[in-house]
Amino acid sequence: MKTCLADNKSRKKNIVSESIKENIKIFWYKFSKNKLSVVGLSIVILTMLLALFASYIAPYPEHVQEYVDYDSANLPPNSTNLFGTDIFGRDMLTRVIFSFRDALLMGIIVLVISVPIGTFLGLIAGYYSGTWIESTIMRTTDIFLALPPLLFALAIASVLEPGFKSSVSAITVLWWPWYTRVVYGMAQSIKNEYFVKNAELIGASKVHILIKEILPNCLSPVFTKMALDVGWIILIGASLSFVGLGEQPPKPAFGQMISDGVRYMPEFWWMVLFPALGVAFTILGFNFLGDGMRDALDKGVR
Amino acid sequence: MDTTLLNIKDLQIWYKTYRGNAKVVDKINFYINKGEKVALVGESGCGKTTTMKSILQILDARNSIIPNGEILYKGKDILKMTYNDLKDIRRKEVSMISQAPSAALNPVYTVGEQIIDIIKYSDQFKKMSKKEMKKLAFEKIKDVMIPDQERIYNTYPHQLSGGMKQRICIAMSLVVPKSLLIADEPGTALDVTIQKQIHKLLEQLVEEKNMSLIMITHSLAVAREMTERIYVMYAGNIVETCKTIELFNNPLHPYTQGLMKCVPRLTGGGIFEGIYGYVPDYINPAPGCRFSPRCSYAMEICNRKKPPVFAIDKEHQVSCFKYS
Repeated sequence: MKTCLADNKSRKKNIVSESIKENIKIFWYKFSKNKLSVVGLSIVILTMLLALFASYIAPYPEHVQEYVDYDSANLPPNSTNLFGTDIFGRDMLTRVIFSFRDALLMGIIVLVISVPIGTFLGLIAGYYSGTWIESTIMRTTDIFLALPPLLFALAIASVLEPGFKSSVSAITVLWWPWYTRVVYGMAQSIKNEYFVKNAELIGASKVHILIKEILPNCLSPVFTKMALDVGWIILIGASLSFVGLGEQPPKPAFGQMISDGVRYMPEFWWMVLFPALGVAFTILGFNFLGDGMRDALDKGVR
Repeated sequence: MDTTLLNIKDLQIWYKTYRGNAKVVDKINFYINKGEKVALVGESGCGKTTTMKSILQILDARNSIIPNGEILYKGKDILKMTYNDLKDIRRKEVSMISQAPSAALNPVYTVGEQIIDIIKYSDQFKKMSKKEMKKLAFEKIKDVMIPDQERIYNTYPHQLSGGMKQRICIAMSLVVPKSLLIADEPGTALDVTIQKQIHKLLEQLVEEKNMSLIMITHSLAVAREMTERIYVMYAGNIVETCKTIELFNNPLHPYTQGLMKCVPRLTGGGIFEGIYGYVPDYINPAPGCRFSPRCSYAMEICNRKKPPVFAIDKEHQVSCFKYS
């Protein structure tokens, strides 16, 4: 009898943990059906590892600081400098690996700030649709959406002192309205679902309805968009640093390295090609990941 | 005091549309006693659900107006209540089962989590520990004849069938002991066998807990099986009310008579006639009886004047000039 009870207990525990495990399994099954999304995930993990352990992986970590070695300047790719060297004789491979740091950091900081703000505003606007709250939030959003992102970022970054901080803040200011739009649309339709009405019927508070009933149902497009957006943010960050408004030398950044190398273009092709490939590689990875997440989080396809 | 639980007096509900106000519910009177089972019967679009939604005030306030009327619940007017009082009524007094069980459960939580939420929100179980709450939830799931509560507790709504979901909805509406249950066509989205089971279950549970039940339905058969008293509604008016048995033996209003004739009988050769025409325009309703364009007994006065309520006897009331 006792053993029977114990069995029952362990069975109960198993059921709960199994349901979580199963959800993960289902997610992975749907995600991995598309091989490209697995490729995307591996690229993202690889770039993250490169960024995190840059100082251990890169062959010449001292080359990201002020460092000049004219003897080995302008070397094409060879066995000691796999990506060649730039005009000051710094190793390109090292500088590319270190560039992943700022690029990823920029994406993460921008999203960490703008996603909660955008989601929250969208949720409120969607729930109170038809009232002054909605019009205030959504018209403000429209104003921000009307500004061309790159131009606005240029304007802000040039007013502030050029650097990593100012380019991050410029992009953040422009990024939340997209999330407000997405969540607003979702919240507006979910608000009229029966289960929200039911929660109202039972006497749930507004906070409960917003946070526990509506918000979780809006999240899957938000996650997808986040994965896709990292690529975009890295691209805009690279554009800003290309025109000299991002990370200042001697610290490496993709855009800045490309703009430096463009001047010596046909002869010293490695100075442009490798940073450009680095940007393309990262963006591609995040886009594949985002597509895979969209397929996996899509409801109904099981 | 008296035994009346809910008393609706002269209630009017209008929906705002771009053409003007649709006068969907037009001065209805309705009451239900403690422990009574009452049916509200009518065709689709006649205002049954609208009326019931107004009881719990979940009509969209921007689309609807209640220009006139009182909804007295235990003597207090719901229409004049503050938000907090209303919340109390929703949490402790009245519950409602909707007609679409598949949409009534939140897809991102397990069934168990949603039941626990209800237990948490009702003040009656405030001091419960998590374990006790879970136990209570199991009990409630068991109440609606679901074996293997453990598994159901941990499933997501999309993993359940329609009948199961409706049972869960019933279980959820009965978690907190309440005094009035409004069942809005609980069987509509289900097939006939399941529908029968659900109705039986509902009846049994309501009787066990001594609740009052308002059954909204378009089926006279369901009303006859489950309830003691019937309100027949047509185009926002209550046209006839009496004991259920009386209605089937002696329908008075031409609309009720028409409905009875539509029901195929085992003893006679099929359906003889239906009711011709369609439900009238709600935006510019005719000044007279709303049924008169379709009524075969229509008299001259029917187009001019709204028929008042005529009491045939103590329980049986009908609003038709035929009985003046």
